[in-house]
Amino acid sequence: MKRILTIALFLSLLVSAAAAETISVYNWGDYIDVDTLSQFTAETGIDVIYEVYETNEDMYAKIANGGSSYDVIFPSDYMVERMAGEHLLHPINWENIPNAANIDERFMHESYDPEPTYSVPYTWGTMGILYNTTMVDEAPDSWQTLLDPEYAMDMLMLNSPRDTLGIALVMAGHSLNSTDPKDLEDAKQLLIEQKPLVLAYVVDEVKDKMIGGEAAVALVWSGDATFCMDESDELDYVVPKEGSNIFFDTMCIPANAKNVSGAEKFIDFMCRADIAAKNYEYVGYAIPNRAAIEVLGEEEYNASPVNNPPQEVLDKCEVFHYLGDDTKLYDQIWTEIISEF
Amino acid sequence: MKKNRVLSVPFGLWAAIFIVIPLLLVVWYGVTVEEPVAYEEIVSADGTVSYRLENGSVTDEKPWQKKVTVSFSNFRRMVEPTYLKLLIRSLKVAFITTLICLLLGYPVALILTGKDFKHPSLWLMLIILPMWMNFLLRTYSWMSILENSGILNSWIAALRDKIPAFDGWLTSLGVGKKIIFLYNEKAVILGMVYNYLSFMIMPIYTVIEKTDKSLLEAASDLGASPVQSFLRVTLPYSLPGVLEGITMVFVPAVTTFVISQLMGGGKVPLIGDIIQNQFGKSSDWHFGSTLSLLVMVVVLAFMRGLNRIDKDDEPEKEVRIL
Repeated sequence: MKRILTIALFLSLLVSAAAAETISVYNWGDYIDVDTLSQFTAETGIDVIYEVYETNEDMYAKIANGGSSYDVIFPSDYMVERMAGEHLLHPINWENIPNAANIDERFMHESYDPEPTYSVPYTWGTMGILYNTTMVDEAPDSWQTLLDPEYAMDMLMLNSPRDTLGIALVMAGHSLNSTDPKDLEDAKQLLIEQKPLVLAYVVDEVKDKMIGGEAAVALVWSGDATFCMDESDELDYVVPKEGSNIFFDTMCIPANAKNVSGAEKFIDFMCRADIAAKNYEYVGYAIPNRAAIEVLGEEEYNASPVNNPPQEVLDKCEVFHYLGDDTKLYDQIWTEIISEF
Repeated sequence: MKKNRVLSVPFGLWAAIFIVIPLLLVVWYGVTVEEPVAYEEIVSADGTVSYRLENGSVTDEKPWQKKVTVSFSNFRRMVEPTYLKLLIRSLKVAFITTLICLLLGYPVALILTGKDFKHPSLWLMLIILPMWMNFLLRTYSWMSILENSGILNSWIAALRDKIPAFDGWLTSLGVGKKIIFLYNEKAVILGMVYNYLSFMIMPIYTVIEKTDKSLLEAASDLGASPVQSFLRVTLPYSLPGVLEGITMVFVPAVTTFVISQLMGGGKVPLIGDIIQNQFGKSSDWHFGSTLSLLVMVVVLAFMRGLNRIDKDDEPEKEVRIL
């Protein structure tokens, strides 16, 4: 995870001797096939300065403090909403991004940016249950599995206030964006009741543990699920029927970008079918790019439960919204849950 | 004199940039909060909404700016039982860790300095060697040993297969197929003891090693038994090393967060984990700084207490030896 890939591609200096145009791209670690960067430089003559971050909050702090200037960033849904609200994003001129037509209409009008004005979806995913088929009697299809004493000390939860509380809110029949103290109290009680059943609250370790057969079921993000299922045939993934969180990582242009036209060219390039397909093969997250899915072969792509949850379940999925000051409320409640001993 | 002062400039700069300024920043963040700016909603006759800010200016757009104000509300939040409970647990875990390190480390240091002990430097090397590896790596190794699907459990399972009597004995004790070693406080303490033990051994070893051996000879010449000369010579002389060892184990143990997350599986949160959350997921640097100040004050108070023991002890020691 912590691989820091700060790659300055001076390659194109050889291609074009003239003072080369550059763009600076700020992405999640391990979230692109770097070959596509050199391909972009070769085709457009624009150098790419590529840097990576670990969390939305890291990226936000850098952009909001104004110390550095990037031309393309990859914020998640709620972060797009926050940054747009704080005037940190540049509106996208769709005429300059013809390849945006490749993006599935289903994913173009999510509530974090309904027009859309600022963001082009890059990847998407869900939260769900990763389970070991040799350790469960029947395939789970409901969040109730995570409250089932059958799996006592055999389940892993996420050590992350927003995600775990969000799912508990769904279990209690509320919106996963609720900030109503009563709803959150329901969620808190559920998680306190669940606590004796939980083997561990983990983050990145969930991958090693599920691949190693440490637990039968785990709450995971679909990206991690893909990674685990590639490593172990015993694992399978489901988005529970009650609905879940759906998340998007998007491409945006910060308000203080120096090279907006270069950034638009880059985003357009990333939306091209062959490039999006190449990145899918490297990153493994579900993509909203229909043309790329055709390149990859629809049948093969849809075979993965991560890429193809049933539409009726997807309809019940919600994106996270930016909570603003209520983030503190979530943190407070989460601390109360884990410090219950 | 002047020359010396010039030589100290780089250190002074270093200390200012990397110690004083960051510390001041922590204090500043600790005593401030970030709040949305206050505004008043004005609904005009035709139903359009505008907003008046505190400074009197009016905008059509809902204000999103935040402002930083000095406030002690985070200090009130800090003394809530939730956080105090976590601080007390951290102190307890650190105390137990330090005690175990002392009980294990002191005899080791003593044995290594024994006059009959061959190749002490080789053994010392073997103690220090693991520290050259990253502690995360070593903690991950403990996880793969102790996990439910780990090495220890698979050995136990193999033994149970081979020896029915062993299996019967464990079953009669009510031990399940898998023994859960990880994900509890004991596992966290084990991880800490393993990681910090050498910090206890080294200072004690150094101090005992430097003690004038003729003092021991003198003690035995004057008829002291080995136990007496240990209690009256070695022990008092080694106290500074012991105190240093205690500091070097206790302080990191009180503030750690990685070991508790990995070995405790997030079920044994310590105050360090909560502080880390504030700078990560919950992104509330202000509250995180307030909690850091709390921990800093506790650690300082602890070090002061230790210093006092150190000073109280010195004259007494002289008397005993004389």
